Amino acid sequence: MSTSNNHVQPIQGAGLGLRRSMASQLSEATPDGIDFLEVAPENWIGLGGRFAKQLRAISERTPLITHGLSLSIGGPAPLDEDLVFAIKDFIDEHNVSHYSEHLSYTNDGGQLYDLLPMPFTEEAVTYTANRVKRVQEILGQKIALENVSYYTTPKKHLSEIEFVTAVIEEADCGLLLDVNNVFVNSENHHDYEPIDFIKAMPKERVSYLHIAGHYYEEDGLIVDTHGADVIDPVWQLLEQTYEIIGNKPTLLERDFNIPSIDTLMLELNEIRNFQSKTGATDVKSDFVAA
Amino acid sequence: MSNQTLLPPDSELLDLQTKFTQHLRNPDTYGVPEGLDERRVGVYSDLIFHNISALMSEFFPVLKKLLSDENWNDLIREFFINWRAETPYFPRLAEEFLAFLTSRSGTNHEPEYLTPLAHYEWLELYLFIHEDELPENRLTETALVTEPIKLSELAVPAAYNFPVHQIQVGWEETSNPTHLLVFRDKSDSVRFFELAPLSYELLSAMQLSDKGIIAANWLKQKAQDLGQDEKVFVEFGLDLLKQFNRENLIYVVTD
Repeated sequence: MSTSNNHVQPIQGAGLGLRRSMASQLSEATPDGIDFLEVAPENWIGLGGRFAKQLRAISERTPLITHGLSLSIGGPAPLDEDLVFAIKDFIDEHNVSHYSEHLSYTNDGGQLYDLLPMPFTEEAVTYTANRVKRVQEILGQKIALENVSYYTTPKKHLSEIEFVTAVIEEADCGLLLDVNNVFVNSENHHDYEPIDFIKAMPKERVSYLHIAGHYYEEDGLIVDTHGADVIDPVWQLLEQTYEIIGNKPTLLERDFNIPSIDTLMLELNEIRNFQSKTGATDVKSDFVAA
Repeated sequence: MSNQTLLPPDSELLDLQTKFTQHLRNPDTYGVPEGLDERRVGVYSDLIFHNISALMSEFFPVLKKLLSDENWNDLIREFFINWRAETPYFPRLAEEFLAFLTSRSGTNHEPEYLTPLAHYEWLELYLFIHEDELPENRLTETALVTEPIKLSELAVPAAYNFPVHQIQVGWEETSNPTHLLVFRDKSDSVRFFELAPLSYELLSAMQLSDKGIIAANWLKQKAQDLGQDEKVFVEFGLDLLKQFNRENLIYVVTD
């Protein structure tokens, strides 16, 4: 398999999730501290006008990666191959190096537009892995799946760690390791210590990392809102993650209560600090062209 | 391959997922799936409801402000229960919501302007994100009346029973036939012109015709039909078209 775009650069360093509210500012100039930007293709495909011009200006200067929201990779509805083909075109147009999705589903015959919890069953492993393989076949490149936050699941034949690793291995795909989600799930379910989850992941499959803030409900349940600053225990977990799996490109997600770009730059600099302290060599993330 | 990417009818996974989303969509009819904690399932109920409510508030800001919270929340809940949104693309969700609104008969508690206003707000977004660009050149005055012309895809004539472009908080509901040309301008902002009914008719004819219309011929015919002065009609039409031509909204159809 090979990609049709030859100019794709592998990403490195610290990146930021691009929201439409930031697009105007970032289309004027990208601050030096933003090494790459991540977009949800479902927010940008098919857009013309001002947003399209802003995105073009941004992608000409700053490497883009794509992180999908609506593919419903583990869902009961037929795989939306039209969407996959549209993502392929988008990837080519903007010289995108990565496409990832959530290990989750969003569609039950109609879109619900949110990340619903997979049952942790053997059937779900095989079914999801088959659909990932089909997506990789269409795209001609490997994709990565993200370990999602979940608050409950209808069935746990397998543990979360077993489920995530089984899908990734069986699909032969990459892992987008979300460090915040590991922390959130460990607090909400008490199934493991966060560091043990990280250690259990196949590190050669980790394509990049996510980090974010989250929100504590009154009763102690944590909801993964991407609406707050990253908290200290998550920073510590990120540092430990680098020690275990090596220096990986890392993306800061901030979807709500978005502060100024300058404020977000402080968190990006913090990521780079930890990355530079990591002695381990970069485990090559070659999930671009398999 | 395809049979391995679809679940069989007797699948446990299908059953688990269906029971879960049935409850999320319609909690009054379908209880919390057996064995699951209500509070934790409730996190998902809240997430999907607030996500769609927030997106629709972004797409239909005036509608959101004018409806009572009860009306608004009922609409969002009904959307989950009765509508299966197909688009994976978030900006196209406005279209799904409008299609949902158009498909229903409404209730006595809702204002009559609900669907027209939603259509107008959808139209603004539709034009703002449309993939077409305006024609690069303006037409000469002669071409405007002698060549077969059409409207750019970025200009849409629209007729409403309410002055949808003026509706805001505090507005007193009065029905009033309203004709608009809603368009995207050269700086990619969406604006409108108010139209007289005859202007709306001319622009609609331009929009609908495949091969374009020759404005002078159309205007003369219209003057004849109405027993009016042809010269006056053609002058009126030319003035009107010049206004839209300044915004690059008109092009000549060439085959």
